[in-house]
Amino acid sequence: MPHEKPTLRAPKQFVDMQNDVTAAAIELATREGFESIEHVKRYTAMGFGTDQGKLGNINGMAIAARCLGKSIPEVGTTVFRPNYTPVTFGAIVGRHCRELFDPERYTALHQWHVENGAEFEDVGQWKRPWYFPRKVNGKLETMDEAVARESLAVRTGVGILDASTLGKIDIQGPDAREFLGRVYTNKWAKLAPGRVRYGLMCKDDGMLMDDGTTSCLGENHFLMTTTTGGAAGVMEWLELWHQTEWPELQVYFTSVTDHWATMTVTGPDARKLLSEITDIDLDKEQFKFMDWRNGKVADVPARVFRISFTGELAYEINVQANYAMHVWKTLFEHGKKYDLTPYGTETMHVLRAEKGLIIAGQDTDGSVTPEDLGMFWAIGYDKPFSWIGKRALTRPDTARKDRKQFVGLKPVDPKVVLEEGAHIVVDKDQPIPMDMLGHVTSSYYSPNLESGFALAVIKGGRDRMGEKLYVPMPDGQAHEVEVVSPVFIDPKGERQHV
Amino acid sequence: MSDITYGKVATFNTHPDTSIPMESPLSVAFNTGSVPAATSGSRVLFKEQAFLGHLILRGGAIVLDEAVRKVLGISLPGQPLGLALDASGECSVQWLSPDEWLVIVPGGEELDVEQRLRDALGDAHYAIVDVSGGQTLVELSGEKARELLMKSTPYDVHPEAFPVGKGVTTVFAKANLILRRPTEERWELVLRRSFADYLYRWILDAGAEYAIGVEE
Repeated sequence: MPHEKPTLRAPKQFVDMQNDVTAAAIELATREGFESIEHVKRYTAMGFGTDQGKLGNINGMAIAARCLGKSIPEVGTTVFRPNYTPVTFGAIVGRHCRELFDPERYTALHQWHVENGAEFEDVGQWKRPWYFPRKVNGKLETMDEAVARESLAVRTGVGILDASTLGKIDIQGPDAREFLGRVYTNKWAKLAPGRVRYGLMCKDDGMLMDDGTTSCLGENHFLMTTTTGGAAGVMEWLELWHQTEWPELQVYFTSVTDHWATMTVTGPDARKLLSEITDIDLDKEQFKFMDWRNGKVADVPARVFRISFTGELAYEINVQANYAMHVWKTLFEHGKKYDLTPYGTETMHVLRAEKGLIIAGQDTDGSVTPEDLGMFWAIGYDKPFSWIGKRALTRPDTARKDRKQFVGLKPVDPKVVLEEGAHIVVDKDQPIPMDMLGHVTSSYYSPNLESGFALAVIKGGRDRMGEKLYVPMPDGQAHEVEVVSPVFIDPKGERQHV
Repeated sequence: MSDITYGKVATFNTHPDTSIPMESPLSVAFNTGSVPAATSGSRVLFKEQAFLGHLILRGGAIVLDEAVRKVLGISLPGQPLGLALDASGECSVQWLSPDEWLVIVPGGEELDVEQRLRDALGDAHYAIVDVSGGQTLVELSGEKARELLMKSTPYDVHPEAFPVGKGVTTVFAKANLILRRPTEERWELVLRRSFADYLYRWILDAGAEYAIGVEE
């Protein structure tokens, strides 16, 4: 930096590299009468960089000292500010830390879950019971042990799930039915009061967005359910299409997710248990699969929906959330003799996967159409008015025969539980990069099948039934799998109709 | 039958005939969390008004106004962000969006109010939805109540910007709630059930320096 010419005549002599402050600028500052080093700083911007002058300021202060005829200590330093000096995250986040870091959403039954030892899974902001480990011989069950016990209980006895987190949207208006027909892929024109239907919802690109059941409460009144994670998005989606595309349709949507608590009682003994505490006629001819009825459960007015995410006989009991704890506890009082087993989201996943029932967002990823899922029965190609996604399903790309299609996989070695996300190939000895046919979307051990099993999407998968494929692993081994139907248990659906 | 088909819409009496213990959205917080008692030194007071009747009313203002006046004796707040109370202060109607109002009535009266509104509205296009189990009302009062709100919401709660008779749906900590001001001294928060625990913890934390007290 030193030069034989005076500063003003010499080439630029940079002092603070971060703000291009030169020795000449510092001299100018002192000539202008800025004698305090803090004023020199502000005149020149010396020391305003992220290093807070820790690189160049010592030289800068020395230059200022020389101009002012003082010693460097007399001139002093500027205040070193953040981020040179440490900043606690607390100062940035305020009180948004620890238990206030992010909202935790609880259901009306949360306290019971805590008191009964539930391990929790985060589902969005919700805390949902993941599984309920029991003490066996003084030792707490592992997750695998608990899930195996819970899964068997539902298939052989009766289990109970807190399903309150599922999104629920009340839909009213003379055009409610027409609106449903336009946002769902399937038909709603003939769904009678007292009946429930499963529906698929696509984005306008034809890809599955959400799914759920919608019940007809009255000719102009429906209750839609959505996935837990999709609730807010579906609500916005309905409002968006109503407000921007079809404002002429007379229909209103209101979220009732938090108003109702939902308890799913499911398993072969579900009817026996529920019949003890309800005035609803549970006769299988009077109250069929995909019906809903109202009445009292544990003396509390309830809407009971006979829908099943487990493939077993199932009743979803909805009561006003302020009464939920009473109903839940009454079910357990009467459920003792049936060994009523509370189960969590992990067992729910195993049971639904055994039935080949998808979870939107797990088995689908925004690139999967209802046709890819093989759910042609839920697509109303001939509905009089078009519906969201219909046009996209006529594109050549969505009609390709080699699209990834939804199938089941059975590992040849029943002890193998495939890794979710693992890729599937034809030739395990092909050099890397291998030709990837598809990937595993869901994979669990099934105590009912006594085997690992998986759901997957595979190119042209429906034409590959019975084929043997491979799932290569990072350690070099490859699991042999057979392509099978995604429905592993009760393919005719007899158990849920009993 | 708990369901009564009202024309083509089903209303539902959610309440049992017998006495059944109820749990408000704040029950877990009160049962398991800290509940600082209100003292003479409390400069913020927190009081839950549990188990009120909450109805969401959807429709055009012109369609709804007459029926609301007839049934509740309150003129529908026509202006955005308006909050109107009846003389007793027990019933209120709050503007939520251009075609959406929140009606709060004494607990247990929600079905009767809904049915009387439906009778008055006839064949008009509207929707009424009972959401009483899904939310609860909390009163905040005390000399530092506004200070607590200022720490918690980006909404301007200065009296010039937030006069009595105003209500908004806004951000509060990292959740949403309805914030309203029915009287000079009192603020009201309408909390969604599933967020109630989080919001309670937040409010206690924010109120600690004002010796916040929870009134029974």
